Amino acid sequence: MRRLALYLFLTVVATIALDRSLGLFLEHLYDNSMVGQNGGDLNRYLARSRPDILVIGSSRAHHHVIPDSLSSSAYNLSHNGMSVAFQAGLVSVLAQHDAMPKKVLLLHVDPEEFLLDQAGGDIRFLRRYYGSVPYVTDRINELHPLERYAFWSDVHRFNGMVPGLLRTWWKPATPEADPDRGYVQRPDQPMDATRTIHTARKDSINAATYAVRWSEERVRDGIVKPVHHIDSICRARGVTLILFTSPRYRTTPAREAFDARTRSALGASPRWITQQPSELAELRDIKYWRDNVHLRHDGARLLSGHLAAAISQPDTNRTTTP
Amino acid sequence: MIFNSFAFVIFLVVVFILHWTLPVRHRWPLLLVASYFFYMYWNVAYAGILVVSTLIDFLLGRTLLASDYEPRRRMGLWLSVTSNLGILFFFKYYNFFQDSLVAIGSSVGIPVTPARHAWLLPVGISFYTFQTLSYSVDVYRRQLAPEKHLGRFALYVSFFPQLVAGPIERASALLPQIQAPIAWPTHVTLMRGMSQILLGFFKKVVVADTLAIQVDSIYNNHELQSGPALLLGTVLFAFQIYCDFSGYTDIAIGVARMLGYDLMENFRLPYFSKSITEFWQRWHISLSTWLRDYLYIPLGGNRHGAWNTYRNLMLTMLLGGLWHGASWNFVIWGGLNGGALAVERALRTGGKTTSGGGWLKRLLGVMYVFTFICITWVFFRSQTIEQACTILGRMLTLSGELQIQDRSVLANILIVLPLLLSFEFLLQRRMDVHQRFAQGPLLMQLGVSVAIVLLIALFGVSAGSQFIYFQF
Repeated sequence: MRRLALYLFLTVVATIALDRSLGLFLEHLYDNSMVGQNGGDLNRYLARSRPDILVIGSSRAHHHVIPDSLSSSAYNLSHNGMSVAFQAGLVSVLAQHDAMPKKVLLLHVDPEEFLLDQAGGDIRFLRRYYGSVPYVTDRINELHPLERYAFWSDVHRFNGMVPGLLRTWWKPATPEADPDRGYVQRPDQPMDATRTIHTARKDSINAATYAVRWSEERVRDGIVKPVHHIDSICRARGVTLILFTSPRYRTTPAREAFDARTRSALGASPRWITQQPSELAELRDIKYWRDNVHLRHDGARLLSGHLAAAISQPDTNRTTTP
Repeated sequence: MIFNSFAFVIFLVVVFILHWTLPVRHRWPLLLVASYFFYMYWNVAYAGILVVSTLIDFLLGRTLLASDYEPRRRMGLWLSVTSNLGILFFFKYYNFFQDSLVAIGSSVGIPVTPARHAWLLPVGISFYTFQTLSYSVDVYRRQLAPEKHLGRFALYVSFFPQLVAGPIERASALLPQIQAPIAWPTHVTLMRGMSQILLGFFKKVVVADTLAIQVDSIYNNHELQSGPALLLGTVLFAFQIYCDFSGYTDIAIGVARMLGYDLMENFRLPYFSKSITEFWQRWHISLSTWLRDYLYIPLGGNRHGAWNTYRNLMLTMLLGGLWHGASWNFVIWGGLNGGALAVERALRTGGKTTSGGGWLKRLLGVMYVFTFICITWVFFRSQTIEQACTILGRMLTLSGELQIQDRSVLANILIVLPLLLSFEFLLQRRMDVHQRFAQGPLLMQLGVSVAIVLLIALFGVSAGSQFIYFQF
């Protein structure tokens, strides 16, 4: 038993020493990475001058909003697959680095996200900022009572990132070498139409299955809070926050009703721009679609134009229901 | 409580310290309390089923099964079988049969109103039910004396390292260890346990959970995946389920060993098997031997001619498939394996391991087994038979191009999977890695342990995923 105790003691000591050293090394790799969604895109943005308009959201913002269409000083810092919980953490990081946009923050939201009982686990993708950005630290700690103990390990902040960091840290992507300012154009594929029809069908079955539940479900406070957090940061810095949704190739009445309820639950502020195919007649054409929720580049150009026009108009959509 | 959680690590440290500091006579009560705490951490109320199951078999063992009067003993066995399987049927299969009845009714034009229940499936019910059942059968067969102490019997049923996903321990192996005073463990024993726990965590948290991300992204959108992508997903699933389940078993065996108990081996490098028969001697050994001893042999085994043997093999594997879950997919999965066992037996290649032959023959054998098992895993992983058929059709024709959605996850896999395969290769070369670790110099032990801990911190999926076999 004494030997076991010695082994355990030495293992703990050696683990801590190596963990700290490796943590420093990975931090160096991370901070020098300028490519990819493993922190590279964020670093590249932080290294450039603040834009007038900043777009954040999931893939439906990343591949839908072309900054050139909005302004000559717009930037798209969206991250694929990330919910509003992650976006709130991202905005906190930007605020701490004094990197908020000068005028407008365009936040993409998916109304469906507001009724799912999700724990906001994708804030973990910002675990690099655990301990340095209080909002990120607090939200990660809320995920599980024991979550904080994982951060005794320094390398845990880079959990799951190592291959990505090794792949990208040496790539010399200067802030100037970013002609599309964060927008990523995905190549069109021959299967796009088939995929669109298939996912539209799947989506409508899904919507039909959950229609009753959606009609009874209340908007989750846990999902609304991050939006209010983003709103408060924007207000403090004189930035206009605009929420926008993006269309689906085929939508359902249940989804559209929920759009309205979510919008109502979020209150009069921030401003809200919905984009349904009914408002964008051209987008009913399948040639613009990659799947039921993602547009091809031509579709993104149309949508960005529509978004630019909506932003420039006075705020007539503002809801009055608190 | 799941093994891959901080809660379990804290729980284990507390139990370990208390266990070795308390007087010997207080150790089994401590483990019993710890085991029930472990189970109730998931759901307090469902511990009642564990209590009921324990009481039924204990009381039957002490009364009817211990009798010298054969009809009473038969009655005892009958009561044990019906009550254990009745509980299992109610929680696991009742809704499934209701749904099947509705489907059959609607296909012949007879409307059947389903009367489903909304009870959750108690975690580990299939495992501890089989464990208590084997006790009753062994007592009935007079292969085992009935346990006289309720507390010790309750610990046998609920021993936390193997409670929720096995190995399914025989009473003849575990009860004597609970009855006897536990010997003070040697340093080598403790280190063997430690190395097995570390390996188990690595398999589960690093390999299986990383593979799960890739497999889920392929299988959850199978309609949009090309043949090569589905093939990749299926091969990765083969490794995922192996690492998930054998990782759990490694942790269970390691934890038990550190507490002074030996649990049976459950996996012996199954993907290195050269026949399906050999595969089932190396995969989920505690279940396959249970099915052999309590189902296949009572059905007649191989004692009544070739066709009866094939029938018995088929029945055993069909029921073994159904044991895994209330779905026709699992039945087909079992049927495919049963069919392969029967065919191998008919071709006289089954029944014994083909250790002889050149390396090419062995390699072809391994490739045949892996290919066949991957095909059967499609049914195991799919939600419906229709889905499985679609996937198999596209997979076998290899239509379309390979597109990787989660490249960063695949990059993680390409780092961690070869590490594990190298390790398994060493085991295949008959090196007792755990023994070498336990007896090796302190510096080597430190190096290996620190490396595994850092690999877990860097590559481990920290979302606290469930083990696949918990659902069974």
